[in-house]
Amino acid sequence: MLNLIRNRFLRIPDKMHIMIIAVVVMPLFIGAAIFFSGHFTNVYKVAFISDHAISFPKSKSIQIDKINERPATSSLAMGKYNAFVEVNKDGEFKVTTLKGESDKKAIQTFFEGGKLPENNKTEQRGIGTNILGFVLMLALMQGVALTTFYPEDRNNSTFKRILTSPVNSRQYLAAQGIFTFICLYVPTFIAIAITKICFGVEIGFGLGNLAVLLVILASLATAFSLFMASIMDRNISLGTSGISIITCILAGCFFNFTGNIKVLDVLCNILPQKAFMILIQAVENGRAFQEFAGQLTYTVTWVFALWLVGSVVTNRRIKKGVY
Amino acid sequence: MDTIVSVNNLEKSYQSKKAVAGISFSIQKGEILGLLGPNGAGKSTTINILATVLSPDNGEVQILGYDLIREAKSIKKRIGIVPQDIAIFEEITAEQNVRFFVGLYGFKGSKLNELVQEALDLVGLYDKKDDKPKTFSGGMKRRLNIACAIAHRPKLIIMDEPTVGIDPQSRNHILESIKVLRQRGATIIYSTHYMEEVETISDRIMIMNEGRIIAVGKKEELIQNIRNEITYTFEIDSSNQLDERQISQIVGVTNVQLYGKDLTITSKKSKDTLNGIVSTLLDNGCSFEKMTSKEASLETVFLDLTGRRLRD
Repeated sequence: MLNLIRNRFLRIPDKMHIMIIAVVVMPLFIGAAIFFSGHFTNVYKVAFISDHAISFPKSKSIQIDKINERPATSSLAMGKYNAFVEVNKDGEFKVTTLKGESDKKAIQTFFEGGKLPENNKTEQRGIGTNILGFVLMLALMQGVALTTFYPEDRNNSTFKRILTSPVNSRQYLAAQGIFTFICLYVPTFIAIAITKICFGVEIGFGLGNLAVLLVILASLATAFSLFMASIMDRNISLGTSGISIITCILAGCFFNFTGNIKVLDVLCNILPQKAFMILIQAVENGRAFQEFAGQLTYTVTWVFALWLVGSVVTNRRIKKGVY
Repeated sequence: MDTIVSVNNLEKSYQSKKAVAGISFSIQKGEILGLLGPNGAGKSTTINILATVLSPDNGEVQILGYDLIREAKSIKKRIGIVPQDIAIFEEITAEQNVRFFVGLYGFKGSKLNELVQEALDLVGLYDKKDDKPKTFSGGMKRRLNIACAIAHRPKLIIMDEPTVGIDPQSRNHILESIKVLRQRGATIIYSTHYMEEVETISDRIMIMNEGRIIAVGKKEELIQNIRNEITYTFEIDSSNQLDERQISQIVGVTNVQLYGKDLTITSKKSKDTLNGIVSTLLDNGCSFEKMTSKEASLETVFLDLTGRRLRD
């Protein structure tokens, strides 16, 4: 096993793109996450469309632009506004938003009662959640780059040759998984820790919690990359990047997302990233891991399921003589 | 003499195609078995089964006294496979390559160092141990490919076309290395397309065609079976006018093969067929510049048994 892991480290210097992503892109992404977190002020930006002058109580959580004409709907998608609020003939407020039902109700409540509901979660998403959301997507893509040795070994027949030795495919995949995990975990942890310690950025977690959350994140990315590398023969990186970006957006890795479509909401909730995002958001807000055992178990189940399927597919192909 | 490999009624199919159709053979300790056959003959499938990377559909295989299905791990520890493809890591040094593959067999420390040096010495690459294979010639890569397979001192070595596309110097080096390995006690299965290699190093030759063994024995025994035949080869200048069936119908002719301008005809020695052949060629408007005749050889044995040339 150690021999297989060492082999991968020996081959890394020839894979400059892996080094660049780990040493340059990962810290840049973390920097970008911190930068954008400053702009994600967790404040509802609302376009209040009315010809009449109506005053509302001031709130840190809601920023109201009074305008006469309804802006283009695309401004919701672009993030210029989170919601449009209009007053109908009966004096009722009509809220239009791409955000979820709870956000819609919160805005409605504010306009009707002058304050946001007690249980509103708008302010609960912090910089740490944003950082790990960004890092999760990058890790899912980087994981495949680090797992590139596996399809490369298959193409160069070294995989088949290894299987003629006493090493079996499970041991091979385990070694590849450990290598991918280490290469994802260590640079990411160091980069975030440096950001916290050296630059004094409050990342929302203690180093202990960060270490645990990164174990889950790196395990998920590792299992996903092994799964993709096992089921795909070509364009693995392209396929993985596409799936990673779409699922991370749907799961709310960058911002809380809901299309107000039940099917889409169900789909989003199936994604392991969603459970992970709920978990990190809770941990950042000072909640204990134990309180979110369901999300934790669900994410870990995905890790094992992806790993298992990847392993089964590989074994089946070996028996068929594909490799 | 100890039996190293015992194969009984081995079968393997891919969907509806039978790649190996119930073959049986055995190999004795210290023997070099030359495995010959055209493409699709079932050689690689047989080798992959013996190498434990492919499961057979039917049949029994024992290697070094271990059952292939139940005791695959014990077999893997004791065999070495030289794959047809050059299966090495181009981005690490020759020494790191050998060290990696020997390490898979659990060797460590000074023993590992000793085995790595021995293998690189044997294939003549010790002075290149710190170079990366991407700087090597095709022949040197092939030699490294062998070093990676034999460094753990396997009792059975299976070589699947180890000399494809290399320079004569490297080929000679490899053939000499194989002889040394045999002297050290290894048993070797040597699959190739090069007839002269089999003739040079093999103790016995096994010819496969369409998933079956069609002949097995010592070179002399195989040739003995067709000793009463002679092969004529003509270099004709116009093949498109030639009807091969006319030549086949000449009494005594057993095989006719036309490849471009090369016309190969196998005939019974006892019959005077040459006059008839030459007349037929001239009647068909085929003149020829060169004609050679050859007594039975391994090449003609192969042609006679399979109806094909080895490299078809």
